[in-house]
Amino acid sequence: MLCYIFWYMQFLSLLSLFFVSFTYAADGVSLRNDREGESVYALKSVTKSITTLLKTVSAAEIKEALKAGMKDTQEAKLCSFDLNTKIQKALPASADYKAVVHYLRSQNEIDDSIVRILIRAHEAHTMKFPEQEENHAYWLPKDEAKVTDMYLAVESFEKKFLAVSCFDEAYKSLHNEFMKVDKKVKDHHIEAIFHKALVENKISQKLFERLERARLSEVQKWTLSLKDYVKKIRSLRNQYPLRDVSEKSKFVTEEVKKINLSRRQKLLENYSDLQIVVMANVIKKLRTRLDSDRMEILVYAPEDGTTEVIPLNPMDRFCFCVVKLRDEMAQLRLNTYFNGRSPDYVDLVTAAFEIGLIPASELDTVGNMEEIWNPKKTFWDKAKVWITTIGSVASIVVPPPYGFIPALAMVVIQATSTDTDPAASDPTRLFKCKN
Amino acid sequence: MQKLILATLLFSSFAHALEVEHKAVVRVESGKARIETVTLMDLVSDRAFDGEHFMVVKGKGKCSIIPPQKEGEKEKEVCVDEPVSFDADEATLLRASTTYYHLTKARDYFQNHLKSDYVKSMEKVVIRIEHQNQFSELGHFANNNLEPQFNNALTVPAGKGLASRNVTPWGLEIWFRPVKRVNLNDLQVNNLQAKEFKALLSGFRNQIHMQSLSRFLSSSVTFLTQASSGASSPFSLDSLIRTAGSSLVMEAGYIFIDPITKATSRQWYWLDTAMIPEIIYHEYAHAALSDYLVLSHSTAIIEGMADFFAGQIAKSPTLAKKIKKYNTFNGKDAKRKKDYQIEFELGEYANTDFVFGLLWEMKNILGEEKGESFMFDLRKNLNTNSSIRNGLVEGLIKTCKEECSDPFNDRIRILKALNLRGI
Repeated sequence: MLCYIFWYMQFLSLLSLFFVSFTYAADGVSLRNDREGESVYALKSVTKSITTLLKTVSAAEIKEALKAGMKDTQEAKLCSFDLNTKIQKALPASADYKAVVHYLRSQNEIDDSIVRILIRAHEAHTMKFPEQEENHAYWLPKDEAKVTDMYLAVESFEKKFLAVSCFDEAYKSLHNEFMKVDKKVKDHHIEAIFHKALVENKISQKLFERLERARLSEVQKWTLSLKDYVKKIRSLRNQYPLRDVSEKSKFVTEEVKKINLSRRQKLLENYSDLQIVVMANVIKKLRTRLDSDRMEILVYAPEDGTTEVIPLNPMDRFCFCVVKLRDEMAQLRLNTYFNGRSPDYVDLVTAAFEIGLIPASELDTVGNMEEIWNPKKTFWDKAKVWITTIGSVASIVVPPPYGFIPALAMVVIQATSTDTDPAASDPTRLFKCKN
Repeated sequence: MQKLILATLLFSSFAHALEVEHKAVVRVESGKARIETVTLMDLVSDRAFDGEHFMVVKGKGKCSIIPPQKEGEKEKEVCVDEPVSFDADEATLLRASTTYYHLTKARDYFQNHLKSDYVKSMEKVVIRIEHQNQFSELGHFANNNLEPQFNNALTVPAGKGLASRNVTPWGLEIWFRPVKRVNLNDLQVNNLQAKEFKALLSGFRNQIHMQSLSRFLSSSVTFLTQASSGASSPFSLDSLIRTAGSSLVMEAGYIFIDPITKATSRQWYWLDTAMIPEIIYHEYAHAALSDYLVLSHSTAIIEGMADFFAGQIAKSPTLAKKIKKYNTFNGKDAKRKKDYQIEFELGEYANTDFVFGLLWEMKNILGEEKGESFMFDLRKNLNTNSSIRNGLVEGLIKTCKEECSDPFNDRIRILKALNLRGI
């Protein structure tokens, strides 16, 4: 009987170890997506590449490869280049790595920010060198002392930088060293330094190629590393544990025009965890105010100690919320944590969702409130400006009796223009939403 | 027991609702009005417009003068409500059947679609067509020699009567006035639209003057500074006439716009309320909503609410349009986007379509089905004296908190829409 119990206990402990070994969060490091809805990268071409990938590699293999890559990895040693290498080792050589990353995203194993970090690192690691002319010239800086200092930095790159940090961070540190030596160092100078180090056998061909690829990929401009990202998210989740980890939002994965990032990517790239918390609390206050049924202005009379209570009607309450929000947004600029930066409204809303202060169901409504004071201009709104300008000139230039036509056009435009704040001139409104 | 059964059968045979076919003015698919044969339901008489829920009476009914019984007593007029007979003249018949038909439709909407218990328990409503007397809260009908009323309709609340004057109590009634052609000069209308047009014209006039002045100045400068260029003198008679001509024409138009508008406008106006389906629905809506919106006086809120439900019953955002034979005034249009003006709170502007349009927009925000029941329940959070800016908005917020499937989001959407209207 005792033997049986002992055997059973051993079996149970083995079984639990067996399950634990499958969790890649060996050190509590999790890359799982817990906020984003449909990916910003969900394009037809991406879907097609995933379909092609899955014909040669199974879904289970891909997930196993990620687990293998994350196995025994601590947060302090979480490097995008290394992670890519580990994942690729666990997969067939023919597997399209970008498709692998996108597949992991589609399964919420990772989120869009990690997709960007990994693919960027992969491209930086595998890019082909551009064809060079036969007599390509290398231009070192004129100051030889500076050249020596930079050269020494390259020489000690592996021992001084790479040994203690990830490759992208190490390269940034190297670039900072160059900037310290010469603030005006140009890209072709760095190219020449690397080439000199290679020619003089101070660095290996492999390291030279890595450094060159990093230079061509402008790694020094990368703002968010994998380690920084995980650290930021961990800090936010520790301070504000999510009530519903299954809640996802498409609002935060919508692309921000001109910068090719999603709203969430933009937030995490540009703001620290502390800044995100401060921003989110502005929206929390907004929400509380919007939900309020009663707002009053209290006027304390100094002579007789009475208090006049002025209740606000619903529209004044609503516009007060908007006016106060805009005031608080502007005040962020004065906050020492923001160093003069003033985040836009969508950043604030995204931050509030990031730490779970507003639910996904309210994101669209709260997020679109910006239209109140910053309405979108339609094509006709923009065209009207041009027509009015041209009409003003045409009304003088066009000879009579046809001169009335441009004048008539301008009057029609003025008459048909919709005033985006009809209450602006209404003295009975205490607060106007659009100042 | 057998006698009881026989009596029940006899009674039920008399109480069985009759259906009769008559001609009435109806809306066809295109939205135009046509006279078509319809089935009048729930009638209790096969000879007159007397139904389970409505009785159509012409004017005050059958009236007779009772001579004074005692010395010093005045002669009295005693009227008995007699339903319009199916033998009445064609015009009266058409009015009676049109009102009866559409009122039945409206009642069905409130009782069966909106499940109104108040309407279900409502007593038979007397419908007066071609009725000229003003309403008196005490005497029911104001004296015959007071100014007769035309081109209108109203819903009157029930009254206790005045026993000392032999005025018997009356229930809720709907009155349709006779139609009368009125000359434009005799009309008193609110001139909000005219003000808007005048502002537009004023802007155009200023533009033309500025344009003329700019042209004159630029040609003067050119002439004076480049005398040898051969440009014609702006001070010549020909140039002055050409430059100033457009300004003069514009100025003349601006000064004489009112008489010109009058001369080119329609001269005669009329409104045959008993022949317009949406007005019939509007009046019934007043009755159906009177459990909370008391019929004491006309306000923007109760008119707007009645308009909304008239539009719902008619399944159209426009009321009393495309019916020139019976209505030469402007109808109402829920889709006409108007910004809030404080004048809309006044009684004289109660019949603008601002509140109608606002409620229609709110319904679209909340969804067709939910919006309809929302608006019906909105009446519980309003009263007749509610203002648009305070009472209506508070009512919308409160109703949304109680009823909206997503109260927070829906309230924000409502408030945003209201803000865009300038409320």
